[in-house]
Amino acid sequence: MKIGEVSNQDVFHLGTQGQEKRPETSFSSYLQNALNQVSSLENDARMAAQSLAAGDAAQIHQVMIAYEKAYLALGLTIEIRNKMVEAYHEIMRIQM
Amino acid sequence: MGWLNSGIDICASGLTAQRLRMDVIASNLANASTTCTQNGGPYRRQIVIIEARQNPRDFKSLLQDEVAAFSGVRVKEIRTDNSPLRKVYEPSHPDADEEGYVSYPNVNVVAEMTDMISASRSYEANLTALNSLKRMASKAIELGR
Repeated sequence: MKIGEVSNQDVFHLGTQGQEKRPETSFSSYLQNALNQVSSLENDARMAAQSLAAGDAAQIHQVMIAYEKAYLALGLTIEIRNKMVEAYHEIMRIQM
Repeated sequence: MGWLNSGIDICASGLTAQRLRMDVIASNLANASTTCTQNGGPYRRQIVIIEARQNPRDFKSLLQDEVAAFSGVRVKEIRTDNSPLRKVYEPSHPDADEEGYVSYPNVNVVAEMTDMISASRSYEANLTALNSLKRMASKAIELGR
């Protein structure tokens, strides 16, 4: 049997075995992931419009649906951004 | 992005299927009196066969036993209608047989027109559902305001 080195992470897990395991993704990576999805939807819409203009197999409704998806996703992103800025302002208003 | 894709993609599949059905009906109407084709013989009516689309089921959905029906439609095949052709006595026609009969396509223009109305209404129904879904999503986003 091969004996491997004991990594820091293993020791960390040993120490916190009794506690609840935390989710791996941080908020910033979650946000980054969501923003990437929105961006890819916009990319899809652009590609669909391009292929329609180039006379490929894409149909009008597919292009419009792609644009609507991108629009809705962007709307949700903007609302979330507004909420985050609002929360930030609330915290800044706390009197010390 | 399940909130965005599920319902809208189902409507989109319906739109695509009805659009194709419309194309085939248009082809039938245009060829209603075509007596010769590249394959030889007169044009034959084409029928679109539409089937329910099965979701590619992953392990998670199998575990949760999700309903596989929520996945839209797709066109299974475009089949040739092999019903008998319409024979018309026209001895001067170049495609007439020895007895002077010309085989015209088995396309019934009235039936094609009713099919066309059905396809167009179906397309509109899918569009209405799509708009409704879109409005629901916008209203849900407005919750944050």
